[in-house]
This record gives sequence, structure tokens and C-alpha cells, in this order.
Amino acid sequence: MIVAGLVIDVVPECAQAAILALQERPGVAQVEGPVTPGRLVAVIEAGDNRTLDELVQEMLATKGVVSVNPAYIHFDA
Amino acid sequence: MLEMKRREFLTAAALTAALAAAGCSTTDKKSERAAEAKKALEGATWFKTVCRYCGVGCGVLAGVKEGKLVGVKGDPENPVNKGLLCVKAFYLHKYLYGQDRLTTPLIRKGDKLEPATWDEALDLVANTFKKIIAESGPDALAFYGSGQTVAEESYLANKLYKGCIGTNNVEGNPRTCMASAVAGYIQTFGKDEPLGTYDDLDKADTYFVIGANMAECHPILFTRMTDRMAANPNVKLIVADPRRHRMHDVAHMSMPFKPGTDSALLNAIANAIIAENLVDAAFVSKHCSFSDGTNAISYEDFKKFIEPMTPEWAEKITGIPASQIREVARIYGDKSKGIVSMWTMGINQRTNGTALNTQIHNLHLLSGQICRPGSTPFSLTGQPSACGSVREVGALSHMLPAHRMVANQAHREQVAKVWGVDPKNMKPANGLPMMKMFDATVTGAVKGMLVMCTNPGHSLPNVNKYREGMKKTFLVVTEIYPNRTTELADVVLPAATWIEKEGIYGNAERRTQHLAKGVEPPGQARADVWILLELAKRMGYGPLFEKYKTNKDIWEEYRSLSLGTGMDLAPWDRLVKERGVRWPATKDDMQGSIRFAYPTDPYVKQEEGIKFYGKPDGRAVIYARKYQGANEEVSAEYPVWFSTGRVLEHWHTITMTGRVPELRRAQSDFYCELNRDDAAKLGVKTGDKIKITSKRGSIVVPARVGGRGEPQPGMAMCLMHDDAVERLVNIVTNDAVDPISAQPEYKIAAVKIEKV
Repeated sequence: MIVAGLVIDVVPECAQAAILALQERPGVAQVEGPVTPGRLVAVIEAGDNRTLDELVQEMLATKGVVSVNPAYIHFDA
Repeated sequence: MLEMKRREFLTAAALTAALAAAGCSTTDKKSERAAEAKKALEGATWFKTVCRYCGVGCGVLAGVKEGKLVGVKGDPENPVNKGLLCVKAFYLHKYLYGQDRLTTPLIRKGDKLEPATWDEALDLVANTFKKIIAESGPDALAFYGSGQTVAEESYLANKLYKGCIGTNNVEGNPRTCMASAVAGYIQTFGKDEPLGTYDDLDKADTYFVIGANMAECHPILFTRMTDRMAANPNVKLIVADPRRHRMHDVAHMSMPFKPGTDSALLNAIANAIIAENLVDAAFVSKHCSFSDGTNAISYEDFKKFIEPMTPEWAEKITGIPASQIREVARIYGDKSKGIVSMWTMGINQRTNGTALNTQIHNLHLLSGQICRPGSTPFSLTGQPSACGSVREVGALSHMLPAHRMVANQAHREQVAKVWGVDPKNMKPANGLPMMKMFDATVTGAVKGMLVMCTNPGHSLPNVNKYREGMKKTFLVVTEIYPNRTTELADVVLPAATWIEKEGIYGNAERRTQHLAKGVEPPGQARADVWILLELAKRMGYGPLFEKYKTNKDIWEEYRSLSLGTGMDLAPWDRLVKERGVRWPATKDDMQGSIRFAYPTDPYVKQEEGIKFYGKPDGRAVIYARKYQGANEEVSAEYPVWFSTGRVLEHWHTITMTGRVPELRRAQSDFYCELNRDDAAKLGVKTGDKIKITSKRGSIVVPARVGGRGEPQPGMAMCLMHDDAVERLVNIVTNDAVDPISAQPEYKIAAVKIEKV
């Protein structure tokens, strides 16, 4: 199990829609924000790197998402 | 129950770190959770280090428990990344612990590499190298290093080869990514490396990004820019690139010039700066000179040269509207605002890469947008220590430590004295630059080579030609995993990697940073410093290397060569404590900042204000550069422009990220992007196989239509990562080089594409 805290930058006007879209994704444990204009934070949980990678790919493909950056990763929760 | 509690703690820790990195103070409730989270991590020891991947140089805290890496945090105290990392950090754990990690020396016996002891392997290398020297001379040996080694490793290799063996055949993979930037800085300013720092990104009003995809390749700097743009809507981003990519999603202006025509675009911007009276005449008069590349010319000569290169002229060549070119010129010309220009492989990996670099510098010099906060030309860097371990250490065939030159007798004597070697043993002629060095493996002139921490069997352009050369050479490779180069080797030496050894990295903004060791390397793997010291000893140079008991010993000797050069490095003990120190650091508490300007550069006096002291007359040079296209033009036979690139999740030749089994999915992960209209004409959709053929060879790869990027019509872009030997993108790429920087033109080739 991998647990990670992420900082997600979004186009500011898309923030609420992005929060809703991210909250619906399996593996996204928590989404908060915008904590500053265009910036969200999230916690994700994934069973393995493949799931994690797919989750990040989906996040990057979410409308309005500009970048996804981890701040904390625990590898074997 | 206990497991649930632990996960809650970890979730809280993750959230707290993300909030802090997002620049958000935590609420009381979250602080409580953070305190709980801290308990969950009791028992882990956190080591201050630097990310292993790109040239940004992000600070990382690595959590180690029971001898294993268990967690990674962005270092919130590191000013480079302020607590953020990119998604490649997800794979730092698995890359250390891959199943096929090299843990014992290997010696080739027939078609197989078989396990051996360190003594057997090192004696074989030392004795074979000595035999080659005796039979063919020192220039029959070569070293090919990396911008991913620590500085001490490159320093030792440089001394062993240039000071002891007596050959300047020392090269590194930064020749493939930033040699043109080096040549550009030296030609224009007389000294290598950027004038500005990342601080300028937080002060600029406009970012002009040309030939770089920072969203995929420099993600933390890209985030730093988008963060500033979100908070300051007047801050603008201009992206000039033949291919649409993720930076365009947030760009305010897009300039998709035709491949290979950026030389015309840059000259036309310079033309418009002059034509619209946007030149900072006082700055140019006081601080600049002019050259046609061979001789000094006057400002009037330069004006005359650039006069025909109007925006309308460039529009015909580049496809960029003249009005847009003038708009960019006006942005450069507005001194009330700052502009930072950034570039990387799209400019550097070109046969006119040096000229292109100087043309970017021209824009800043003509407009006076330089040597002040938020205004600078800034070449981005590809590897974590290409600057710190190769450019600064001088681990290239024409260089010596601290930007010295092998051709300079005084420089050789200064270095020889510190190395304790006879200066007469140091050759005054440059060694072979990278492509000539590998060509010499094909001709047989180079008979023995040590490759350290890099993968030329995958990464050289026109790679199949040079793979044959490497097969013929006595090839020694220090590596952490089997790759396309170890399979060609006669001896493979298992190396320690990030967090398994300590050392120093230097990033793109002249920031020197210490990497701590947190875990032991697996099996018999050893740090490259140990390997080099053992090799030197067994080759008979032991007394010259006995003094190096620790990495600190090596660093402090190297540092002594930097003092007084303008590249003054910080002492080891300071680097261990701090989050990096930018050079020049001439005082104990100093952080280097804007170069060539008072008071940030200690080498410039107050009365001088600005002085480009790399040049004898203190003036930066504005070059008149003729328009030059690509080495290879499209034709009836090869009608498609071909380029290469990367994605965020993978690193170069995937020797690290490729060790995450879950990331090694279907080969369609490594694709060739096509323009959608071109794809429709070919009848190709995403996932279909296409055959790409250049003059050098063919590969069959999956196509991608749409997605993160899209080339302009008539162009294709293939990822460089795929390590299948029959699909190496470099079977197709062009090995022609820039005549000054000797950097190959990976970024443009002419190909034909067929549906398979």
C-alpha cells in the first residue's frame, strides 16, 4: 500500500469542478481546497505502483488540472 | 485495529505535508493530526538528500527504517522545491529494490557475463587498461561519465585519466544535452553557466520558453511558474515549440514554428527590437560588443546584418505571424517588466545549437533585460548534476576543474600542482568529444573504455553504429541494473546508487547540494568513488590517491581549485548542514545570486555596476548569426520531420523507472505521436503500429494520436524511453553534431512513416 499527499494545481475557475471529479475517483481518500488560488491538496491510497500511476494519469487528464505533485509518499503503509 | 490506526496516521501525515507544501498553514485540528502522524513515523530516520532524476535539484527527505527506504518527503526547507516533488518520486522506492539489481561483479566469458570477485574484475580491468596503454598509448583509453554521478566521482575519473594515464579522452553524457548551452554562455559571456537563478522565476512578468517542455521534463519549475501565474494574472507565458504540449494549456501565446526555423524566429525578434527602437542603448553601449563569429563588428554592422531579417521575412520561414513576432519584441523591450527566457533540448540538441543559444542571449543584451531580478536568459538542465559533476568538475575532453581548459598551460599547471602529478603528463590538446570518441570505438582507435552511470548503448544517436564499436572495445560499465550498455560490456561492476552513497550534486541554478547516505548498497555493490580508487591503485597510481579517505577529502581538494575563479564552491561542512549553496560563495554565509552584477556578484565592484568579467574587455558579445536550418531537410523520400521527447513518469533510458514492474505495461506506453490530420491520411489510429525510417535505420512503434501532445502537420515525435533493442528511437536519430559544441542533433531528423 502506498499513501501519498499531493498538491494539485488547477486552472482557478475549474477548481470546484476538479474537486468534484477528483473526489469521485477510487483511491482518492481526501481532497481539500482550494487552499490558495488554483491549488488543491489530496491524499491518495493505492495498492501498487500500477494503480498509483493510473490514478495520477487520470488526475492529469481531469479537466482543469495543470499539475500533480506529491509532497509525501509512504511506500509500505 | 492497529493497522487502521497506522493508516489514519499516515493519511494525516500525507495531508499535513501536502498542506505545508501548498503554502497553507495547518489548522489546530490538522496540527493535532500532524502530531499523531509524527508518532506513526517514530523509528524512521530522515536523511537530507536531493532527487535522483532531473536537473531541477529538488530537496528530498528520505525516511529509512530497519535499513530500508520507507518514505519520501519533499524537503519543505529546500528553496528549490519548497516541499513539492514530481510523480517520479513515487518510483524512488521500487527502483532501489528491483529484482534484477546488479549485486556482484560480472566478467564476460563467451556470450555470457558471469559472476566474479571484485579482485578478479578489478585486476582484469587494470591489467587490460595497462596493456592497452603499453601497446597503443594512453589515447586508446577513454572514460564516458555522467551528469548523474556525484562530483567526487567525476573529479577522480578526471584525475585518473587526464593527470595519471595522460589522455584527455574524458567525456560525459552532458555532451548530449547541454554542450551547446556551455558553448553559448562561453561565447557570449566568457564564462559557463546561467547568470540568473530560480529566484528569477518568482520575479518575472513574462516567461519565454522555447524548445523545452517543462511540464514533462522540469515539472517542479513548471509548477513554480503556474503558481506565480495563478497568483498574478498579469504574469504571462509564451511557448515557442513546433509541437503542442501540456505547457500550451496554460500559455498566453503559442508560437508553433516550423521545425528547425527557430534561428529565423530569434533573429526576427532581434530585428523588431531594433526596428521599434526598443534597444537599451545605454546598456549596449556600456556593456556589449559585437561579433560576426570570427571578427569584431560594430553595432551599425549588426544592424545592417539583421535589417533584412524582418518579422515578415521570418513569417515566410517559420509560419509565425509577423505581428506575433513584433509583440514578443515589445515584451522584451518593455523594461518596466522582467522576462526570463528558458530553453533546453529543443535548442541545445541541434547542429546550430551554439548559435541558437547566443541568439537568445542577444535578445536579453539588446533589450538590457539581464543582470537584474526577474530578467535573464536561463538554460534548463537535463540531469541532476550535469552542471555540478561535469561542467564544473571539467569532466569533458576540453576541460579541467572549475571551468579551466586543457589547452591552457597555466590551467594545466594549476591543476597538476593540486593533483600532485607532473604537468608534462597532461596533454595540451583536447581529447575526443563524445561522438568522435564513440566513432573511435568503431575504427578501433579507442580500445578500452570505462562507462560510469550512463547508458550509451541506448542513448547515442544513430546508436546501432556505435553499439558495434562498443562490442569491439574492452568495455567496462559500472551500473545498478542490466541495460543496453551492460549487455555490450566485458566487465560489469555493480554500483551503489542514490541514498546508498553520499556525495555532492550541482543543479541548474549553480546550487551545490549534499546527498546523505541512508542505506547500505545491496550485495557487493560499491560506490563509484571506491571503484575508481581501487582501479587507480591497481593501475599503479595508488600513492596519488591515498589521501582520499572520504568524499569530503575529495570535495575539499576540488573546492580549493574553485576558489578565486568566480565559481567559488562552498565547504563540505556547510553543504551538509544547509539546503544547498549557490556559487560563487566567497564568504561563509553567502548565497550566490545574479552574476556579473553588483552587489550580488562579489567579483564586480560597486563602481562597475555590471561587468562581464569572463571577457577581457568586460563586455558580453552580441553575435550576428546567419539563418541556419536543420542538418537534414525533409525530402520526397523522407517527408516527415522527426523529433524525440520524454514523459513525466519516466526518466531517460528507464534504467530506474523501468524497474517498477507495474510501470512496464504494454509497449504502447512508449509511442510516436502523430498529427491527427497526418494520422488520418495514413489511416492510423492510436495503438496502430507504424514504421519509422530514416537514412540510418527503421523502427516499428505504436502510434499515438491526441493525448498530452500533438506535433504540427508534417511532424512526428517519438518517446526516447523504450529500451527494446529493436525499437530504440536512436536507431533513427541523426548523429551530426554542432561544429562548436560537438552536441548531436537528436531533435530533428527527416523520416518516412508507414502504417504496418
